Amino acid sequence: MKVDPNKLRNHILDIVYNKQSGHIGGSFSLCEIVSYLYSNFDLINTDKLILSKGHGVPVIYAALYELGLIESLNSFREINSELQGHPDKNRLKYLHATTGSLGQGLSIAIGHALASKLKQKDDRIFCIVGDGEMQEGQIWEAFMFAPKYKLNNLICLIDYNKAQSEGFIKDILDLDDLENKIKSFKWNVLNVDGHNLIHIGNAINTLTRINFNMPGCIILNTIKGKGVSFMENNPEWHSKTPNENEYNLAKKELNESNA
Amino acid sequence: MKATRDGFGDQLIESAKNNKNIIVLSADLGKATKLYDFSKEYPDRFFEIGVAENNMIGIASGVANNGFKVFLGSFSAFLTGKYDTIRCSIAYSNEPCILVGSHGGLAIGRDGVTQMGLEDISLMRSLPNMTIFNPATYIEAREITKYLCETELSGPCYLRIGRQPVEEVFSNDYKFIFDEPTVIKNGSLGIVFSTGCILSTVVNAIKDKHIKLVNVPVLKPITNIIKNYYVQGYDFVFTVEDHSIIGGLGSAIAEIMAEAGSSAKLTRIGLNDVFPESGKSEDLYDKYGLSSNKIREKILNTLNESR
Repeated sequence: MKVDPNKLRNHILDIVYNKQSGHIGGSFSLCEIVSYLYSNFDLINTDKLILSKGHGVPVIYAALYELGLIESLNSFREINSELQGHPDKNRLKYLHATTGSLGQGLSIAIGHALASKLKQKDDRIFCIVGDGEMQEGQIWEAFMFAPKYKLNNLICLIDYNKAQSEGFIKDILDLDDLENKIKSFKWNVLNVDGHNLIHIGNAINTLTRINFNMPGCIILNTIKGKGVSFMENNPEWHSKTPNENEYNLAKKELNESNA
Repeated sequence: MKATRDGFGDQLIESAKNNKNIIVLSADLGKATKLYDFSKEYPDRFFEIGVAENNMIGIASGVANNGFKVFLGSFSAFLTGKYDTIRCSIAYSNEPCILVGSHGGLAIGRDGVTQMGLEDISLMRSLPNMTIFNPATYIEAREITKYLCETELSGPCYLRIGRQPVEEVFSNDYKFIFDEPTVIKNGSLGIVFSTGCILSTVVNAIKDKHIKLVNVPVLKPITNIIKNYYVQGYDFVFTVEDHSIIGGLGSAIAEIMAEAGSSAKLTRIGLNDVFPESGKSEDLYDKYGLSSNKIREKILNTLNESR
C-alpha cells in the first residue's frame, strides 16, 4: 500500500497524544480502509471521500501527510490551522465535506453522486459512516433515497467497530441485522473484515467494477482502537487521550507489530 | 392580487430557461412552494426528495459544491426547524444554496401553529454566512428570485415566501437593489420598517398619516442605509413583521439603535413571544395584532401617548 496503515496509526497516536485532544479509537478502526482508498484512488482530483464520522479525521490528516499533501501535522487542533478538530473543507482544500455533526455526511455524498450523474462524470463517491452515527435518523433518509436515482457511483463504507462514545452499540441502541436492513433498502451490501486489505480490495473491486445499477455498501467489521491491545474494544478510547505511560506502551505495540 | 410564492415560482421557471445550472430539490411540498411548476417545465433538473428535509439539506450541500445553483424548498417551519443540518451542511460549509421557506407567518390560518414559520428568520439570522431575503409582494419576489438566479452567490441564502395573495405595492419597473431598502412613503412623525408580505397591510394602516414607511427585503446583512434612516432624527421607530419579535426585523433594528446610542423609542410589532393557534387567517391577524387596524392602533397610540 502506498499509504501504510501502521504509519497512519503512529501519526494518529502522536498527534492526539501531543495535543491531548482528539479521537483515537474510531480513527484506528479506519486505518485499513483509509489506507486502501488513498492508495488506490485519486481522492484529490477525481474521486471523493466524505468522512461522515468527522471525529475520525486524524486518520485523514495522517494519510494526507503520508501522501505529502500536508507538510506537517503539528498544527492539529491548534488555532489558525487547516487541521481542524473535525473536517472543515473550506480550511483544508483536500476535503470534500465539512462534517462533525453526526448523520449528515451520507446525504452530502448523495449530493456529490447526483452532481456527478448530472455532469456525466465517471467518478466514485466514497462515504465513511460510523456505526454509532447510524442511530441518527437522517442516515436512514439517505439510505432510503440513494437507490431512487440509482446512484451506483456511491459507495457507503460503514465502520462497524461496535462501540460509540458512551459504550457498546448493542447496549446503547443496537443496529441488529445491519446487513439485511440495508439490503432491504435495495443497496448492494458486502460484509468484510475491515482490517484485511485484501478483503477490502475485493469488496471495493466487486462494487466498482461490476456494473451494478444501485449504490454499494460495505460493512467493515472493525475493532475500535485496533492495533493497541489495551485500547481495542474499549469504548473509553473513543475520545480518551493517552498519558505518557500509555503513549509509550501504545507506541511500543505499534512498532512491534510493524517489525 | 398575487402571492410572493407565485412571484418566486414564475421567475424561477423564467430564469432557469437560460441558466441550466439551476437545480431544484423539494420535500413533498412542491405545489405549496411552487417548485412543482418547475418540475413540470424542467423534469431533469428537479429532484423529489420525499418528506426528509434533513436529507434534502445535505444533498443540496453536495450538489451545490459541484457548481450548481440549488434551490431547496419546504414550509419555512419545517425547513428551518432542521437547524443543525443547515448550520453544518450548508452555513458552516458555506455552500451557495437557496433555502426557500414558504408559508411564513400566520397566513396558513386554520392549519395551525405547526405549519406556520414564525421563528424562521430568527434562526437563520443567527447563522454566519447566511443572507436573508423576505420579499413583500409578487413583483418584489420576482425581482429577488431573478437576483438570486443571476448573481454569483458567495454563500447560502434563505428566501422567505408567503402563500397569501397580497396587494401589489411596486410598479412593474421596480428594480431590486441589494443594498437599498425601498422608501414606500415619506413622513415626519415616525418611521416604520416593514418586512415581507405584511407590507401592503402596513401601507393601508398608515396611508393617511405623515409617517415614513420603509420596506426591508434583506434582513441580513442589514445595510448601512437602514442604519442611517433612524439617525435622520426620528423619535419613534416601529418595526412590523409577520414573525416573532425575537430575532427578526425588530431585533435587528433594536440592535442597530442600541449600538448607536439612539434615544428614539422603538416599538416592535409582531408575534409577541407566543405560539398562536388555528383559525381564519383574518381572525388570527386581528387577534395577534397584525391586522391593518391593529397595526394602526398600535402606532397611533404610541405616537399619541408621548404627546
